[in-house]
Amino acid sequence: MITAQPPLVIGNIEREHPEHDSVGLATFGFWLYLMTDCVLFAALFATYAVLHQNFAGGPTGKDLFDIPYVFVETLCLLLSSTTAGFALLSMQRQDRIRLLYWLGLTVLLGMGFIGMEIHEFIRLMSAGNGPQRSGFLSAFFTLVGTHGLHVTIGLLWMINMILQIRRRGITVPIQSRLIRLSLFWHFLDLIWIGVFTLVYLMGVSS
Amino acid sequence: MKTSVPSHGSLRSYLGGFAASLFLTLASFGLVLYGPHLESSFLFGILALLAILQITVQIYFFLHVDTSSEQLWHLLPLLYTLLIVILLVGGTLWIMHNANLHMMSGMDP
Repeated sequence: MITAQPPLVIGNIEREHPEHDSVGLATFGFWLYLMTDCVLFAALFATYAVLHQNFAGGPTGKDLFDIPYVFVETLCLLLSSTTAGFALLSMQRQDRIRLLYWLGLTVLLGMGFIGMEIHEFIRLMSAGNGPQRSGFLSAFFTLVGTHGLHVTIGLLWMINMILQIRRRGITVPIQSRLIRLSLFWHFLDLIWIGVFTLVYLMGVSS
Repeated sequence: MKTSVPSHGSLRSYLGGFAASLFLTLASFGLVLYGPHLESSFLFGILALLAILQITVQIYFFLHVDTSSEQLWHLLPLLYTLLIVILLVGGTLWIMHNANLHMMSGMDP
């Protein structure tokens, strides 16, 4: 911002230009994308549900899954979803330092989650239980891996936003992007609830 | 068309969402790790219920979608997607279950 005016906040834009609600439209468009992503995950959940007992003589969920480990993963992602919310609150108050702090913490927690997931994948594959082992493991790696890929993309997006905020401050386009990023991040935590319930908790109990 | 920006909630909504989600997560994991031995269909029912509850809690507290008129354009696609998801998952399970039954006939269990 070259002028000495304070950066606009979303609420002001709506009041001053009610006819151009571009942030609202962008948010709505992104919301529709998230709904299609829901359908993608529904297909993967359905595939897993169909194949979850096709062990092909290989290990079952009971043999492979470490529930306390998954609990820590879940906690990381839930905490990061909450800190992403705090980041958005700091953005609304134009508090750049706190915004960067909360986003940084969200990135660290997200990295904790994805690091633990990669570690789990390596542990499984190095024991010969990769996706080629059985139908159950193919479906497992596809579902959990697709979620992990989404989280990774979210992390790259978040790091990108941190760099943008440091360079340009909390401008209107950056606020618009942060709103969409937070929707994406909360959405990934929603999907994870389905993953830990269906795959891990039901997997060790059947 | 009115497409308002979703309100970004308040400190209370995020803390409330976190507390409720944490409680439901602890309930799910606690039930599996330390719970009494239950009939698996009964246990799965409870786990599914806890998951649906937590998803609803997070949609309300984190995504701030509710039944207010300004959130209508976020709620309607969500409900429609829910219908698609139920058809997709339910239909897949139904068809594959039937296919399995027919393939099994004539074979030893």
